[in-house]
Amino acid sequence: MVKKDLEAAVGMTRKWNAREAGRDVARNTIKQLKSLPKFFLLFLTTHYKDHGGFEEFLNGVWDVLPKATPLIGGTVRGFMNNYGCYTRGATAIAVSSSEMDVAIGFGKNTKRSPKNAAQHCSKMIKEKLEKSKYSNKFLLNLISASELPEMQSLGRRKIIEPGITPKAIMKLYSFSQKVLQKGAGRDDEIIEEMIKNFPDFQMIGGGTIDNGEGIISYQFFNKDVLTNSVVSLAINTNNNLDVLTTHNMKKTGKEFNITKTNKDGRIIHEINGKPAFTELLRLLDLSRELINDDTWLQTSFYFPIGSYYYNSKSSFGPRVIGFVLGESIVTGFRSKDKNASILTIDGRGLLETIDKNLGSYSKTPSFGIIASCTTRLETMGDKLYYARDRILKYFNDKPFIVFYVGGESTYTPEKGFTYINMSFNSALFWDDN
Amino acid sequence: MQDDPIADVLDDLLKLDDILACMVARFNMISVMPDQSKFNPQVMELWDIIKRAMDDVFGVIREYSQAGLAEMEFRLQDYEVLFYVFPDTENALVAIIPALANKGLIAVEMENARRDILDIMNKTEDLQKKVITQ
Repeated sequence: MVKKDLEAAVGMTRKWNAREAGRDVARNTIKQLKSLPKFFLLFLTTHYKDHGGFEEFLNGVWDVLPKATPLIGGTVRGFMNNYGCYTRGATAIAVSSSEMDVAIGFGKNTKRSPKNAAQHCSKMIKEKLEKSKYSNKFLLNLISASELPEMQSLGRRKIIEPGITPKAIMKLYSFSQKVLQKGAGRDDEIIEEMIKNFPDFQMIGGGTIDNGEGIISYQFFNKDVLTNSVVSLAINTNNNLDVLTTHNMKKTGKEFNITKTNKDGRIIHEINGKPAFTELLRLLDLSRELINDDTWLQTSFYFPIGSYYYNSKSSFGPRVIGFVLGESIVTGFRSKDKNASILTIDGRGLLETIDKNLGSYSKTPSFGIIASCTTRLETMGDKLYYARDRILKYFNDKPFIVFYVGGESTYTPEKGFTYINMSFNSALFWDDN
Repeated sequence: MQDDPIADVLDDLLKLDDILACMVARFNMISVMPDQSKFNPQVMELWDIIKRAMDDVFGVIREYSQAGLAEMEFRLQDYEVLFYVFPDTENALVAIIPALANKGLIAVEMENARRDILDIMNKTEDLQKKVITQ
Protein backbone atom coordinates (compact mmCIF):
# COMPACT_ATOMS: atom_id res chain seq x y z
CA MET A 1 0.00 0.00 0.00
CA VAL A 2 1.27 3.45 -0.90
CA LYS A 3 1.63 5.71 2.09
CA LYS A 4 0.14 9.19 1.59
CA ASP A 5 1.72 11.56 4.03
CA LEU A 6 2.19 14.85 2.19
CA GLU A 7 2.51 17.57 4.76
CA ALA A 8 3.31 21.26 4.30
CA ALA A 9 3.81 24.17 6.67
CA VAL A 10 4.10 27.91 6.17
CA GLY A 11 5.88 30.07 8.73
CA MET A 12 6.82 33.71 8.90
CA THR A 13 8.54 36.36 10.96
CA ARG A 14 8.18 40.08 11.52
CA LYS A 15 11.27 40.42 13.69
CA TRP A 16 13.76 43.05 12.53
CA ASN A 17 17.03 41.54 13.72
CA ALA A 18 18.32 39.26 10.96
CA ARG A 19 19.59 36.43 13.19
CA GLU A 20 16.49 36.39 15.37
CA ALA A 21 14.24 36.60 12.32
CA GLY A 22 16.03 33.68 10.67
CA ARG A 23 15.53 31.54 13.75
CA ASP A 24 11.94 32.68 14.11
CA VAL A 25 10.83 31.85 10.57
CA ALA A 26 12.57 28.45 10.64
CA ARG A 27 11.12 27.58 14.07
CA ASN A 28 7.58 28.70 13.16
CA THR A 29 7.65 26.63 10.00
CA ILE A 30 9.36 23.43 11.12
CA LYS A 31 7.41 23.03 14.35
CA GLN A 32 4.24 22.42 12.33
CA LEU A 33 5.66 19.33 10.60
CA LYS A 34 5.56 15.81 12.04
CA SER A 35 8.46 14.60 9.87
CA LEU A 36 11.74 16.13 8.75
CA PRO A 37 11.30 18.63 5.90
CA LYS A 38 12.25 17.54 2.39
CA PHE A 39 13.01 21.18 1.53
CA PHE A 40 12.81 24.69 2.93
CA LEU A 41 11.81 27.55 0.64
CA LEU A 42 12.56 31.04 1.94
CA PHE A 43 11.47 34.52 0.84
CA LEU A 44 12.39 37.76 2.55
CA THR A 45 12.33 41.48 1.96
CA THR A 46 15.59 43.38 1.58
CA HIS A 47 15.13 45.20 4.91
CA TYR A 48 17.36 42.60 6.52
CA LYS A 49 20.32 43.97 4.60
CA ASP A 50 20.44 46.84 7.12
CA HIS A 51 19.47 44.79 10.16
CA GLY A 52 22.23 42.24 10.38
CA GLY A 53 22.52 41.11 6.76
CA PHE A 54 21.41 38.09 4.80
CA GLU A 55 24.31 35.86 5.94
CA GLU A 56 23.23 36.43 9.51
CA PHE A 57 19.62 35.73 8.55
CA LEU A 58 20.63 32.39 7.06
CA ASN A 59 22.78 31.66 10.15
CA GLY A 60 19.62 32.12 12.18
CA VAL A 61 17.69 29.75 9.93
CA TRP A 62 20.43 27.12 10.25
CA ASP A 63 20.44 27.48 14.05
CA VAL A 64 17.05 25.77 13.81
CA LEU A 65 16.72 23.95 10.47
CA PRO A 66 17.74 20.27 10.49
CA LYS A 67 21.16 19.84 8.85
CA ALA A 68 21.19 18.93 5.17
CA THR A 69 17.67 20.22 4.52
CA PRO A 70 17.79 21.57 0.94
CA LEU A 71 17.19 25.34 1.13
CA ILE A 72 16.71 27.87 -1.64
CA GLY A 73 15.15 31.30 -1.62
CA GLY A 74 15.51 34.91 -2.57
CA THR A 75 14.60 38.50 -1.89
CA VAL A 76 11.11 39.64 -2.88
CA ARG A 77 9.15 42.90 -2.72
CA GLY A 78 6.51 41.34 -0.51
CA PHE A 79 4.63 38.17 0.22
CA MET A 80 1.25 36.83 1.17
CA ASN A 81 0.48 33.67 3.09
CA ASN A 82 -2.17 32.11 5.35
CA TYR A 83 -1.43 34.79 7.97
CA GLY A 84 -1.65 38.00 5.94
CA CYS A 85 -0.01 40.30 3.37
CA TYR A 86 3.39 41.85 4.04
CA THR A 87 5.97 44.11 2.44
CA ARG A 88 8.46 43.60 5.28
CA GLY A 89 9.57 40.38 6.91
CA ALA A 90 10.16 36.82 5.81
CA THR A 91 8.14 33.74 5.05
CA ALA A 92 8.97 30.11 4.37
CA ILE A 93 7.31 26.91 3.30
CA ALA A 94 8.59 23.46 4.22
CA VAL A 95 7.23 20.16 2.98
CA SER A 96 7.63 16.60 4.15
CA SER A 97 6.55 13.51 2.27
CA SER A 98 7.82 9.96 2.05
CA GLU A 99 7.08 10.02 -1.67
CA MET A 100 9.33 12.80 -2.75
CA ASP A 101 12.91 13.20 -4.00
CA VAL A 102 14.35 16.67 -3.92
CA ALA A 103 17.40 18.32 -5.46
CA ILE A 104 18.60 21.89 -5.52
CA GLY A 105 21.03 23.62 -7.81
CA PHE A 106 22.47 27.01 -8.64
CA GLY A 107 24.21 28.78 -11.51
CA LYS A 108 26.11 32.06 -11.37
CA ASN A 109 26.62 35.00 -13.76
CA THR A 110 23.09 34.87 -15.12
CA LYS A 111 23.20 38.31 -16.71
CA ARG A 112 26.45 37.59 -18.53
CA SER A 113 26.03 33.92 -19.48
CA PRO A 114 22.49 32.73 -18.78
CA LYS A 115 23.00 29.49 -20.70
CA ASN A 116 26.07 28.50 -18.69
CA ALA A 117 24.31 29.35 -15.43
CA ALA A 118 21.34 27.18 -16.39
CA GLN A 119 23.61 24.31 -17.41
CA HIS A 120 25.50 24.38 -14.11
CA CYS A 121 22.25 24.42 -12.20
CA SER A 122 20.78 21.62 -14.33
CA LYS A 123 23.84 19.40 -13.84
CA MET A 124 23.58 19.63 -10.06
CA ILE A 125 19.92 18.66 -10.17
CA LYS A 126 20.30 15.85 -12.69
CA GLU A 127 23.06 14.19 -10.69
CA LYS A 128 20.93 14.19 -7.57
CA LEU A 129 17.70 12.97 -9.18
CA GLU A 130 19.24 10.37 -11.44
CA LYS A 131 17.81 7.43 -9.52
CA SER A 132 14.47 8.96 -8.61
CA LYS A 133 11.54 6.69 -9.40
CA TYR A 134 8.73 9.21 -9.12
CA SER A 135 6.93 10.29 -12.24
CA ASN A 136 5.56 13.75 -11.38
CA LYS A 137 8.29 16.33 -11.78
CA PHE A 138 8.47 19.94 -10.70
CA LEU A 139 11.03 22.71 -10.91
CA LEU A 140 11.00 26.12 -9.21
CA ASN A 141 13.46 28.63 -10.66
CA LEU A 142 14.35 31.80 -8.77
CA ILE A 143 16.49 34.10 -10.88
CA SER A 144 18.05 37.48 -10.26
CA ALA A 145 15.70 39.87 -12.11
CA SER A 146 16.61 42.94 -14.12
CA GLU A 147 18.67 45.58 -12.34
CA LEU A 148 19.33 49.17 -13.33
CA PRO A 149 22.31 49.37 -15.66
CA GLU A 150 25.48 51.07 -14.44
CA MET A 151 26.17 53.50 -17.24
CA GLN A 152 29.47 54.96 -16.03
CA SER A 153 29.34 58.74 -16.50
CA LEU A 154 25.56 58.58 -17.12
CA GLY A 155 24.86 56.99 -13.72
CA ARG A 156 22.19 54.48 -12.65
CA ARG A 157 18.81 55.81 -13.64
CA LYS A 158 15.53 54.49 -15.00
CA ILE A 159 15.68 57.03 -17.81
CA ILE A 160 18.91 57.95 -19.52
CA GLU A 161 18.14 61.11 -21.47
CA PRO A 162 19.32 61.28 -25.09
CA GLY A 163 22.56 63.23 -25.15
CA ILE A 164 25.19 60.99 -26.56
CA THR A 165 24.69 58.99 -29.76
CA PRO A 166 22.40 55.92 -29.61
CA LYS A 167 25.38 53.78 -30.57
CA ALA A 168 27.43 55.10 -27.64
CA ILE A 169 24.52 54.49 -25.22
CA MET A 170 24.21 50.90 -26.44
CA LYS A 171 27.94 50.37 -26.01
CA LEU A 172 27.76 51.57 -22.42
CA TYR A 173 24.71 49.37 -21.83
CA SER A 174 26.44 46.36 -23.28
CA PHE A 175 29.41 46.94 -20.93
CA SER A 176 27.02 47.23 -17.98
CA GLN A 177 25.16 44.05 -18.97
CA LYS A 178 28.08 41.82 -19.78
CA VAL A 179 30.91 43.09 -17.60
CA LEU A 180 29.19 44.61 -14.57
CA GLN A 181 26.13 42.32 -14.82
CA LYS A 182 23.76 45.21 -14.31
CA GLY A 183 20.91 45.20 -16.81
CA ALA A 184 18.27 42.80 -18.13
CA GLY A 185 17.66 39.73 -15.98
CA ARG A 186 17.67 37.39 -19.00
CA ASP A 187 15.67 35.01 -16.83
CA ASP A 188 13.62 33.96 -19.89
CA GLU A 189 16.80 32.68 -21.52
CA ILE A 190 17.70 30.69 -18.39
CA ILE A 191 14.31 29.02 -18.24
CA GLU A 192 14.43 28.13 -21.92
CA GLU A 193 17.68 26.30 -21.19
CA MET A 194 16.15 24.61 -18.14
CA ILE A 195 13.26 23.44 -20.34
CA LYS A 196 15.75 21.91 -22.77
CA ASN A 197 17.33 20.03 -19.88
CA PHE A 198 14.10 19.06 -18.12
CA PRO A 199 11.41 18.88 -20.82
CA ASP A 200 9.16 16.56 -18.80
CA PHE A 201 9.06 18.81 -15.72
CA GLN A 202 6.37 21.33 -14.77
CA MET A 203 7.95 24.64 -13.85
CA ILE A 204 7.25 27.93 -12.17
CA GLY A 205 9.69 30.81 -12.04
CA GLY A 206 10.12 34.29 -10.62
CA GLY A 207 12.76 37.00 -10.66
CA THR A 208 14.14 38.03 -7.26
CA ILE A 209 14.02 41.78 -6.63
CA ASP A 210 14.73 44.43 -4.00
CA ASN A 211 12.28 46.80 -2.32
CA GLY A 212 11.82 49.09 -5.30
CA GLU A 213 15.08 50.67 -6.33
CA GLY A 214 15.96 47.90 -8.79
CA ILE A 215 19.59 48.04 -7.71
CA ILE A 216 20.35 44.49 -6.52
CA SER A 217 18.61 41.31 -5.44
CA TYR A 218 19.83 38.20 -3.63
CA GLN A 219 19.36 34.48 -4.02
CA PHE A 220 19.89 31.91 -1.29
CA PHE A 221 21.35 28.44 -1.67
CA ASN A 222 21.74 26.51 1.58
CA LYS A 223 24.11 28.76 3.59
CA ASP A 224 25.22 30.92 0.68
CA VAL A 225 24.00 34.37 -0.33
CA LEU A 226 24.32 34.85 -4.08
CA THR A 227 23.77 37.64 -6.60
CA ASN A 228 23.22 37.42 -10.37
CA SER A 229 22.36 33.75 -9.95
CA VAL A 230 19.66 31.18 -10.53
CA VAL A 231 18.68 28.86 -7.68
CA SER A 232 16.35 25.96 -8.42
CA LEU A 233 14.37 23.44 -6.46
CA ALA A 234 13.47 20.20 -8.23
CA ILE A 235 10.88 17.79 -6.85
CA ASN A 236 10.13 14.33 -8.12
CA THR A 237 7.05 12.95 -6.43
CA ASN A 238 4.08 10.64 -6.53
CA ASN A 239 1.91 13.54 -5.44
CA ASN A 240 -0.03 15.37 -8.12
CA LEU A 241 0.77 18.85 -9.30
CA ASP A 242 -0.02 21.42 -11.95
CA VAL A 243 1.03 24.95 -12.84
CA LEU A 244 -0.82 27.82 -14.54
CA THR A 245 -0.26 31.46 -15.55
CA THR A 246 -3.06 34.04 -15.82
CA HIS A 247 -2.88 37.82 -16.30
CA ASN A 248 -6.36 38.98 -17.42
CA MET A 249 -5.08 42.14 -19.09
CA LYS A 250 -7.14 43.68 -21.87
CA LYS A 251 -6.13 45.61 -24.97
CA THR A 252 -6.80 49.36 -24.79
CA GLY A 253 -7.09 49.84 -28.53
CA LYS A 254 -3.83 51.79 -28.66
CA GLU A 255 -1.97 49.70 -31.20
CA PHE A 256 1.33 50.28 -32.96
CA ASN A 257 4.10 48.66 -34.94
CA ILE A 258 7.48 47.86 -33.49
CA THR A 259 9.69 48.64 -36.45
CA LYS A 260 13.23 48.27 -35.06
CA THR A 261 14.61 46.25 -32.16
CA ASN A 262 17.91 44.79 -31.09
CA LYS A 263 18.75 41.26 -32.22
CA ASP A 264 16.68 39.36 -29.64
CA GLY A 265 13.80 41.84 -29.55
CA ARG A 266 14.19 42.84 -25.89
CA ILE A 267 15.15 46.43 -26.71
CA ILE A 268 12.74 48.47 -28.84
CA HIS A 269 14.55 51.16 -30.83
CA GLU A 270 11.74 52.37 -33.08
CA ILE A 271 7.93 52.40 -33.01
CA ASN A 272 6.00 53.25 -36.20
CA GLY A 273 9.36 54.06 -37.81
CA LYS A 274 10.08 56.78 -35.23
CA PRO A 275 12.34 56.95 -32.14
CA ALA A 276 10.63 54.56 -29.73
CA PHE A 277 10.23 56.48 -26.47
CA THR A 278 9.03 59.73 -28.00
CA GLU A 279 6.55 57.85 -30.22
CA LEU A 280 5.27 55.77 -27.30
CA LEU A 281 4.65 58.92 -25.23
CA ARG A 282 2.84 60.49 -28.20
CA LEU A 283 0.58 57.44 -28.53
CA LEU A 284 -0.17 57.62 -24.82
CA ASP A 285 -0.72 61.40 -24.81
CA LEU A 286 1.86 61.69 -22.07
CA SER A 287 4.26 64.57 -21.64
CA ARG A 288 7.91 63.66 -21.24
CA GLU A 289 8.12 65.75 -18.07
CA LEU A 290 5.64 63.39 -16.41
CA ILE A 291 7.90 60.38 -16.77
CA ASN A 292 11.11 60.55 -14.81
CA ASP A 293 13.02 58.54 -12.20
CA ASP A 294 10.90 59.93 -9.36
CA THR A 295 7.55 59.19 -11.01
CA TRP A 296 8.60 55.91 -12.62
CA LEU A 297 6.80 53.56 -10.23
CA GLN A 298 3.60 55.60 -10.45
CA THR A 299 3.54 55.77 -14.22
CA SER A 300 5.46 53.17 -16.24
CA PHE A 301 3.62 50.15 -14.78
CA TYR A 302 0.35 51.47 -16.15
CA PHE A 303 1.10 51.17 -19.85
CA PRO A 304 2.57 47.70 -20.35
CA ILE A 305 3.14 46.65 -23.94
CA GLY A 306 1.22 43.55 -24.99
CA SER A 307 3.33 41.19 -27.08
CA TYR A 308 3.86 37.54 -27.87
CA TYR A 309 6.87 36.13 -26.07
CA TYR A 310 9.84 35.73 -28.43
CA ASN A 311 8.82 33.19 -31.11
CA SER A 312 5.78 31.89 -29.20
CA LYS A 313 2.34 31.84 -30.82
CA SER A 314 0.50 31.24 -27.54
CA SER A 315 2.28 33.19 -24.79
CA PHE A 316 0.76 36.66 -25.16
CA GLY A 317 0.87 39.11 -22.31
CA PRO A 318 2.13 42.33 -20.80
CA ARG A 319 5.78 43.24 -20.77
CA VAL A 320 6.82 46.09 -18.56
CA ILE A 321 9.30 48.75 -19.49
CA GLY A 322 12.41 48.17 -17.40
CA PHE A 323 14.28 51.31 -18.27
CA VAL A 324 14.78 53.80 -21.09
CA LEU A 325 18.15 54.37 -22.74
CA GLY A 326 17.89 57.56 -24.76
CA GLU A 327 15.09 56.68 -27.17
CA SER A 328 15.40 52.90 -26.73
CA ILE A 329 13.00 51.02 -24.46
CA VAL A 330 14.38 48.01 -22.58
CA THR A 331 11.48 45.64 -21.88
CA GLY A 332 10.88 42.69 -19.57
CA PHE A 333 11.26 39.98 -22.16
CA ARG A 334 12.34 39.19 -25.71
CA SER A 335 9.77 39.40 -28.45
CA LYS A 336 9.70 39.06 -32.24
CA ASP A 337 6.13 40.38 -32.31
CA LYS A 338 5.87 43.46 -34.53
CA ASN A 339 2.22 44.20 -33.71
CA ALA A 340 2.02 45.59 -30.22
CA SER A 341 -0.69 47.19 -28.15
CA ILE A 342 -1.02 48.89 -24.81
CA LEU A 343 -2.73 46.72 -22.21
CA THR A 344 -4.67 47.66 -19.11
CA ILE A 345 -6.47 46.17 -16.11
CA ASP A 346 -8.58 47.48 -13.22
CA GLY A 347 -8.88 46.33 -9.61
CA ARG A 348 -11.73 43.95 -10.38
CA GLY A 349 -9.67 42.46 -13.20
CA LEU A 350 -6.71 41.94 -10.87
CA LEU A 351 -8.93 39.93 -8.53
CA GLU A 352 -10.52 37.96 -11.38
CA THR A 353 -7.02 36.88 -12.45
CA ILE A 354 -6.92 34.85 -9.23
CA ASP A 355 -10.33 33.25 -9.87
CA LYS A 356 -9.39 32.39 -13.44
CA ASN A 357 -6.23 30.76 -12.19
CA LEU A 358 -7.14 28.93 -8.98
CA GLY A 359 -10.70 28.28 -10.15
CA SER A 360 -9.37 26.15 -12.99
CA TYR A 361 -8.03 23.47 -10.63
CA SER A 362 -10.51 20.69 -9.92
CA LYS A 363 -8.73 19.41 -6.80
CA THR A 364 -8.29 21.03 -3.40
CA PRO A 365 -4.56 21.66 -3.01
CA SER A 366 -2.43 20.27 -0.20
CA PHE A 367 -0.17 23.28 -0.60
CA GLY A 368 0.65 25.97 -3.14
CA ILE A 369 3.58 28.07 -4.29
CA ILE A 370 2.53 31.17 -6.21
CA ALA A 371 4.72 33.69 -8.04
CA SER A 372 2.98 36.99 -8.69
CA CYS A 373 4.23 40.18 -10.26
CA THR A 374 5.15 42.96 -7.86
CA THR A 375 3.12 45.39 -9.99
CA ARG A 376 0.00 43.57 -8.77
CA LEU A 377 1.10 44.15 -5.18
CA GLU A 378 2.09 47.77 -5.70
CA THR A 379 -1.13 48.56 -7.56
CA MET A 380 -3.45 46.98 -5.00
CA GLY A 381 -1.68 48.22 -1.86
CA ASP A 382 -3.79 47.47 1.22
CA LYS A 383 -6.53 46.07 -1.08
CA LEU A 384 -4.22 43.09 -1.44
CA TYR A 385 -6.21 41.70 1.47
CA TYR A 386 -9.13 41.29 -0.98
CA ALA A 387 -6.86 39.07 -3.06
CA ARG A 388 -5.84 37.12 0.02
CA ASP A 389 -9.46 36.53 0.99
CA ARG A 390 -10.06 34.93 -2.41
CA ILE A 391 -6.93 32.80 -2.24
CA LEU A 392 -7.81 31.61 1.28
CA LYS A 393 -11.16 30.41 -0.07
CA TYR A 394 -9.44 28.18 -2.65
CA PHE A 395 -6.89 26.84 -0.19
CA ASN A 396 -9.37 26.14 2.58
CA ASP A 397 -6.73 26.50 5.35
CA LYS A 398 -4.08 24.55 3.43
CA PRO A 399 -0.67 26.26 3.38
CA PHE A 400 0.30 28.63 0.59
CA ILE A 401 2.80 31.33 -0.19
CA VAL A 402 2.48 34.09 -2.76
CA PHE A 403 5.81 35.80 -3.39
CA TYR A 404 6.02 39.08 -5.32
CA VAL A 405 8.70 39.14 -7.98
CA GLY A 406 9.68 40.69 -11.31
CA GLY A 407 9.28 38.41 -14.36
CA GLU A 408 7.18 35.28 -13.93
CA SER A 409 6.81 32.08 -15.88
CA THR A 410 5.32 28.61 -16.01
CA TYR A 411 5.99 25.62 -18.21
CA THR A 412 4.34 22.26 -18.74
CA PRO A 413 5.05 19.77 -21.53
CA GLU A 414 1.39 20.10 -22.60
CA LYS A 415 0.82 23.85 -22.26
CA GLY A 416 4.33 24.94 -23.20
CA PHE A 417 6.27 27.93 -21.90
CA THR A 418 4.60 31.11 -20.72
CA TYR A 419 6.80 34.04 -19.80
CA ILE A 420 5.14 37.38 -19.13
CA ASN A 421 5.07 40.24 -16.65
CA MET A 422 2.20 41.41 -14.41
CA SER A 423 0.90 37.88 -13.97
CA PHE A 424 -0.30 35.39 -11.37
CA ASN A 425 1.41 31.98 -11.53
CA SER A 426 0.40 29.04 -9.42
CA ALA A 427 1.99 25.69 -8.67
CA LEU A 428 -0.43 23.53 -6.70
CA PHE A 429 0.25 20.11 -5.18
CA TRP A 430 -2.30 17.60 -3.98
CA ASP A 431 -2.57 13.96 -3.05
CA ASP A 432 -5.51 11.72 -3.83
CA ASN A 433 -6.63 11.29 -0.22
CA MET B 1 9.99 47.97 24.66
CA GLN B 2 7.44 50.50 25.89
CA ASP B 3 4.46 50.07 28.19
CA ASP B 4 2.03 50.91 25.42
CA PRO B 5 1.75 48.13 22.81
CA ILE B 6 0.21 50.61 20.33
CA ALA B 7 3.38 52.71 20.57
CA ASP B 8 5.35 49.55 19.76
CA VAL B 9 3.31 49.08 16.57
CA LEU B 10 3.99 52.72 15.62
CA ASP B 11 7.70 52.33 16.38
CA ASP B 12 7.77 49.35 14.05
CA LEU B 13 6.07 51.33 11.30
CA LEU B 14 8.48 54.22 11.76
CA LYS B 15 11.43 51.95 11.01
CA LEU B 16 10.31 51.78 7.36
CA ASP B 17 12.36 54.23 5.28
CA ASP B 18 9.39 56.06 3.77
CA ILE B 19 7.39 56.50 6.95
CA LEU B 20 8.60 59.95 8.01
CA ALA B 21 6.22 60.28 10.95
CA CYS B 22 3.23 58.34 12.28
CA MET B 23 0.71 58.45 15.10
CA VAL B 24 -2.76 57.50 16.25
CA ALA B 25 -4.83 60.65 16.39
CA ARG B 26 -8.30 62.20 16.32
CA PHE B 27 -9.67 65.73 15.93
CA ASN B 28 -7.52 68.12 17.94
CA MET B 29 -5.79 65.31 19.79
CA ILE B 30 -2.85 63.00 19.25
CA SER B 31 -3.63 59.82 21.16
CA VAL B 32 -0.43 57.84 20.72
CA MET B 33 2.78 59.13 19.21
CA PRO B 34 6.13 57.37 19.03
CA ASP B 35 9.35 59.09 20.04
CA GLN B 36 9.21 62.36 18.05
CA SER B 37 12.99 62.49 17.80
CA LYS B 38 12.67 59.63 15.30
CA PHE B 39 10.47 61.73 13.01
CA ASN B 40 12.02 63.13 9.86
CA PRO B 41 13.36 66.65 10.66
CA GLN B 42 12.00 68.07 7.38
CA VAL B 43 8.50 66.99 8.36
CA MET B 44 8.92 68.59 11.75
CA GLU B 45 9.72 71.91 10.06
CA LEU B 46 6.28 71.75 8.42
CA TRP B 47 4.57 70.25 11.43
CA ASP B 48 2.34 73.24 12.28
CA ILE B 49 0.76 73.44 8.85
CA ILE B 50 0.48 69.65 8.54
CA LYS B 51 -1.21 69.50 11.94
CA ARG B 52 -3.74 72.20 10.92
CA ALA B 53 -4.54 70.35 7.69
CA MET B 54 -4.84 67.10 9.61
CA ASP B 55 -7.41 68.62 11.93
CA ASP B 56 -9.50 69.65 8.93
CA VAL B 57 -9.40 66.07 7.67
CA PHE B 58 -10.34 64.78 11.11
CA GLY B 59 -13.43 66.98 10.90
CA VAL B 60 -14.48 64.94 7.85
CA ILE B 61 -13.56 61.67 9.55
CA ARG B 62 -15.66 62.62 12.57
CA GLU B 63 -18.59 63.31 10.27
CA TYR B 64 -18.39 60.16 8.14
CA SER B 65 -16.60 57.37 10.04
CA GLN B 66 -19.93 55.95 11.22
CA ALA B 67 -20.99 55.82 7.56
CA GLY B 68 -18.02 53.63 6.72
CA LEU B 69 -15.30 56.14 5.81
CA ALA B 70 -12.16 54.01 5.90
CA GLU B 71 -9.30 55.96 4.34
CA MET B 72 -8.34 59.52 3.46
CA GLU B 73 -5.20 61.22 2.26
CA PHE B 74 -3.92 64.62 1.22
CA ARG B 75 -0.79 65.92 -0.42
CA LEU B 76 0.98 68.93 1.02
CA GLN B 77 4.12 70.20 -0.70
CA ASP B 78 6.43 67.17 -1.03
CA TYR B 79 4.54 64.98 1.43
CA GLU B 80 1.45 62.84 1.57
CA VAL B 81 -0.51 62.26 4.74
CA LEU B 82 -2.40 58.96 4.94
CA PHE B 83 -5.31 58.36 7.30
CA TYR B 84 -6.43 54.79 8.04
CA VAL B 85 -9.59 55.15 10.08
CA PHE B 86 -10.43 52.72 12.88
CA PRO B 87 -13.96 51.57 12.04
CA ASP B 88 -16.82 53.35 13.84
CA THR B 89 -14.46 55.67 15.70
CA GLU B 90 -13.10 59.17 15.12
CA ASN B 91 -9.55 57.85 15.44
CA ALA B 92 -7.16 57.11 12.63
CA LEU B 93 -3.69 55.78 12.11
CA VAL B 94 -1.83 58.63 10.42
CA ALA B 95 1.42 58.45 8.49
CA ILE B 96 3.40 61.09 6.65
CA ILE B 97 5.29 59.81 3.63
CA PRO B 98 7.20 61.36 0.70
CA ALA B 99 4.78 62.32 -2.08
CA LEU B 100 6.55 60.05 -4.56
CA ALA B 101 7.05 57.08 -2.27
CA ASN B 102 6.06 53.59 -3.39
CA LYS B 103 2.65 53.91 -1.77
CA GLY B 104 1.49 50.40 -2.59
CA LEU B 105 4.16 48.88 -0.39
CA ILE B 106 3.51 51.34 2.42
CA ALA B 107 -0.26 50.78 2.22
CA VAL B 108 0.17 47.06 2.95
CA GLU B 109 2.11 47.81 6.14
CA MET B 110 -0.30 50.61 7.12
CA GLU B 111 -3.14 48.10 6.89
CA ASN B 112 -1.17 45.61 8.99
CA ALA B 113 -0.54 48.30 11.61
CA ARG B 114 -4.24 49.25 11.61
CA ARG B 115 -5.19 45.59 12.14
CA ASP B 116 -2.60 45.18 14.92
CA ILE B 117 -3.82 48.32 16.71
CA LEU B 118 -7.46 47.26 16.35
CA ASP B 119 -6.54 43.93 17.86
CA ILE B 120 -4.87 45.66 20.81
CA MET B 121 -7.90 47.96 21.25
CA ASN B 122 -10.30 45.00 21.23
CA LYS B 123 -8.22 43.04 23.72
CA THR B 124 -8.03 46.05 26.03
CA GLU B 125 -11.79 46.47 25.79
CA ASP B 126 -12.37 42.78 26.59
CA LEU B 127 -10.06 43.06 29.58
CA GLN B 128 -11.88 46.14 30.86
CA LYS B 129 -15.25 44.34 30.53
CA LYS B 130 -13.89 41.41 32.53
CA VAL B 131 -12.64 43.70 35.29
CA ILE B 132 -16.03 45.43 35.48
CA THR B 133 -17.97 42.18 35.69
CA GLN B 134 -15.69 40.76 38.41
